[in-house]
Amino acid sequence: MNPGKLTNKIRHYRFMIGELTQQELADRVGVTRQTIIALEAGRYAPSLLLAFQLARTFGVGVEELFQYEAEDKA
Amino acid sequence: MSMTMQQKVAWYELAVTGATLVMVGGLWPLLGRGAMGGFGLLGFLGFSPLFLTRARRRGEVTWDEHEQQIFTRAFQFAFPIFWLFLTAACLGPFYLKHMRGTISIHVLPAILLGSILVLNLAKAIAILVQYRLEARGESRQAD
Repeated sequence: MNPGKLTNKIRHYRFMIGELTQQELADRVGVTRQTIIALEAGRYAPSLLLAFQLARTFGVGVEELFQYEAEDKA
Repeated sequence: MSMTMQQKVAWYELAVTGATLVMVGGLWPLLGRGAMGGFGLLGFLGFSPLFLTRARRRGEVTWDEHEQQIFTRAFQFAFPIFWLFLTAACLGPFYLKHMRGTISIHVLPAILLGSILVLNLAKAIAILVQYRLEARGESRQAD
């Protein structure tokens, strides 16, 4: 079964709230800069906890920050 | 881009295991069994935790879920290689001796140390390759 596709707007919101650098965002949520890079590149799917921490940092809901596209069954 | 603690440790372990391979392989034609002393370089692997200590003193984030995923995948790659090597190294002497005779006591440390070397070498390479593959997306997402 294809798990679908997860995308995010981390980079968009990062610039929206004052042009945070990747390192600054990483420091705020307690991860490494490489993790933020991997997230923005779509190469890493965060845990639920990290997703909520990121959304809380930006002041948005999780579903505003992360989008899930289920695979079409047709 | 600055490296994570895990990357630094992986490079360090790659250097130590690589140097050990070169030392043992290079000295074997000259010293024979005496070249096994080169495995002593593997003792430097014990200094790996110093990277963690220094990073924590600087207040860096040293470990997160993403680092854990990379480590887990690297170990999933390295362990089968280590296991195959260990199995082959243990059974090889029996087949070479045609199930007769005795096996030199020197074979035992060679198997143990060789297995440690293979495990750390494979793990280090797997970690660095994963970071390298992720870095390909970095240039398009840089600050």
